[in-house]
Amino acid sequence: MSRIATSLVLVLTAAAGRASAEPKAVAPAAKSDCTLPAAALASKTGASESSGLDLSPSGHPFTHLVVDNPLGNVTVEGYDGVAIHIETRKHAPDDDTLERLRVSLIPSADGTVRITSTADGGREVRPVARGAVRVDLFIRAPRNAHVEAAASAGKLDIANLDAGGDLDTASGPISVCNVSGEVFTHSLTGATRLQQVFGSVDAQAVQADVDLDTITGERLVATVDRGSIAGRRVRSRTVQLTTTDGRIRLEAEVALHGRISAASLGGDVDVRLHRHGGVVVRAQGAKVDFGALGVPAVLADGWRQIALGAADAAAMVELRSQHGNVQFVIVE
Amino acid sequence: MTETLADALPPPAILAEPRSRVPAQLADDAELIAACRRGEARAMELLYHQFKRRVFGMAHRIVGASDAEEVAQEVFVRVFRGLANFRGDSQLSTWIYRLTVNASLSHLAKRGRRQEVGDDGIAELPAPPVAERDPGLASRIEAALAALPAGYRAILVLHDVEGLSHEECAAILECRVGTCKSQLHKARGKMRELLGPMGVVAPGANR
Amino acid sequence: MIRCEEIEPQLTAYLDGELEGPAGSVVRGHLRGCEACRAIATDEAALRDGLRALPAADVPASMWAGVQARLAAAEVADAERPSWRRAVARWTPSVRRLAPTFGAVGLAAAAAAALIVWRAHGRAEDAVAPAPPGVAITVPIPALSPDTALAPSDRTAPSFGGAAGVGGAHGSDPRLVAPSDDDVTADLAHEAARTSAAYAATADNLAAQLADVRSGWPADRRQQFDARLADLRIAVAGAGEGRGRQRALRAEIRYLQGALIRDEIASNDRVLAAPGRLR
Repeated sequence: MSRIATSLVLVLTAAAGRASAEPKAVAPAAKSDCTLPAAALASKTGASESSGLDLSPSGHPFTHLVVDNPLGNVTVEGYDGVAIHIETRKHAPDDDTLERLRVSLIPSADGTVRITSTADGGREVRPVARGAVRVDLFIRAPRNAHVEAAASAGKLDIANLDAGGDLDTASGPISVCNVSGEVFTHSLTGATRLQQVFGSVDAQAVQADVDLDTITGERLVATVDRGSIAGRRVRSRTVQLTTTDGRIRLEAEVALHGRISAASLGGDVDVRLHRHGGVVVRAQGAKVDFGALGVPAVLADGWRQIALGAADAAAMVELRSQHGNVQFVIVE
Repeated sequence: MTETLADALPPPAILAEPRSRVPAQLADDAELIAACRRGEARAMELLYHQFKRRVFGMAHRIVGASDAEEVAQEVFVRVFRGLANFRGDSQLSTWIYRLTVNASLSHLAKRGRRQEVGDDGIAELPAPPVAERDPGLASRIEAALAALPAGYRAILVLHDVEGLSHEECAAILECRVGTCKSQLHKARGKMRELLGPMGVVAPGANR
Repeated sequence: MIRCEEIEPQLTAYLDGELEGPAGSVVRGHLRGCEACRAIATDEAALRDGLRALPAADVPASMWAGVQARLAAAEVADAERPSWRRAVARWTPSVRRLAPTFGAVGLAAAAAAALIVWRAHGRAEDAVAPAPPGVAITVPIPALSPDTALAPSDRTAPSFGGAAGVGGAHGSDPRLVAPSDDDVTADLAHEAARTSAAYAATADNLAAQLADVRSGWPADRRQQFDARLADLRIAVAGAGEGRGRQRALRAEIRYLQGALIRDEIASNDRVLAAPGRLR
């Protein structure tokens, strides 16, 4: 059995005064205009504290970053480096409560780094409402680290990453920008916004809007119960958008053999398509409007269908709304 | 103030151990912990006296006589300061013994190899006796224990010296019961190597 | 004939009375006939008894006073400790928790190390953050290896029960759904159950909307739907409270939406090749 002692070295270095509080210069991201929230200034009342921590790998590089912060915002930004930088801002009504807010950091030998925030309890503490305390985490991580992040009511922002992510909030908004790899997002009521995702996307929300801009991965799946889905510059080969009650608006390019499906129970479905080859469009709705494309054929099962261009390798577009209207437009 | 005769006399032996006003049934872990968290001096004393022998005993066997008190004191400081965060995931005793083992091992790591009994220590062990009875067995066992790698020493101290179950040992060392058992087997094997054939117990003379 | 090498690893368990039944008789039988193993066994028994009989060390009388003095000193240090040190104290325990006993003594099979550099900015109200001196603390961290099996002790989450009954609605405790006036720590403890309850309510609502639609389906379609929903609800009930249960509930919501909106009964992956990816 190996007798190699493993060790983690915690080194405290002299803080370089205020300068070290400045966010380090970020390597300019190619064709990215992702603007991440700046570290907010501490509130004037109560007690605040900020600290920074650099975690450098020795041996195995950091490949997975797992963040769970139920107490505030999480921002993860990829950069061209190997270390993980963590800025923590804590706020509480008083010093004693501030002491209860903890951020733990657990690096593992397999390249996973876990960052978790908690509020210590105990019988001796003065009770304080959840909303009165706050922990915000600003993290810079190696671009090729896969990010799993969870927040509750806080915002979750990730940008400039190459290995995808899995994001979860209860009510906080989710924002993803300039990310390659598979991206999963799920939220109960947090508005979800994904832009410049160069990988497959799976977004699910219960009562929130999902906004998609410039998605080029193989698959795009978005499901919302009560809320809308809006997509622009979508180039995924397979697109499936579903809402129970909420409008679906999509502006997309459809590839050869591509499949786009947009379906809602009560919301309108409005799709504008840039086509490069043949496309077969079927629609079902309270009212179906193919605009200038002409009068569709009516199929036996109630579908209205129109075929454009060569049937060979035609893309398939399927639009339906039980109680809402369906509109389809080709943008040449 | 007048000093009475009773005040001047040393306390009777039975009172030498500070007596707590905390009733015996309060020794229930949860209440004891709560009282300690409130900073009640009597409860803290009770907890100390409840665990001092084992804490000191474990530290003594793992780090040796000279540093045992220092380590044990440190353990109690960690216990009292850590009680606020003690979540009751494990038994109070398990948690305290875990702190003891961890504090002892990290003390050894800090102290470095220089003071650990190395090969010289083993060489000084008395030669294995040929006699049936071995009056020096206890001291030879202590010497061999001190020469053992610290991890093996910990499991031997917990299981064989302190008589804790494999389940308790596993909880303290935060490992699987199976790991615990195999470590104990290896540790005893190492001890037998260090002690040489003992030949103390003839077949049939088994107690 | 059983060889000695097979007996030797079992001796410890045998001597400690942990080998019962056939396994015990095998060892006993071997020991009767094998002098070498008997010698090892008697040595180990003597060793075990010798260890148990080691005289207890006397606790020094000065120890309690020493503990009290250290506690008092630590309290004074707390009061005088600058904010950066308090911040370190808040980082440090989590780092310390990483130290498993066996990792510390080198049973870990793989090695890993990381360098943490901590930068203090001080509190917002501090004009200039005090400069902490360079300090290096080395603590062991666990190396991931099946050999060590060092599961965190606080991994168990409270179970709030009542997720899904097959064919029935999700029973959710209304207390868990209501906003909590609790202290933040208690509130956090209820978070997972609260979030799950919100997902469960959404699933129940969709199932209610489907009830009418379902009654219009032919029997085989109803059967297929019921079976699939039952599977999904079993998955919900079987998942531990927390993200696992929420994931299972989201899968159920997806399926119900597919059935309600797209008439997809068999599965919700008519468009997508890999349903497993849908979480």
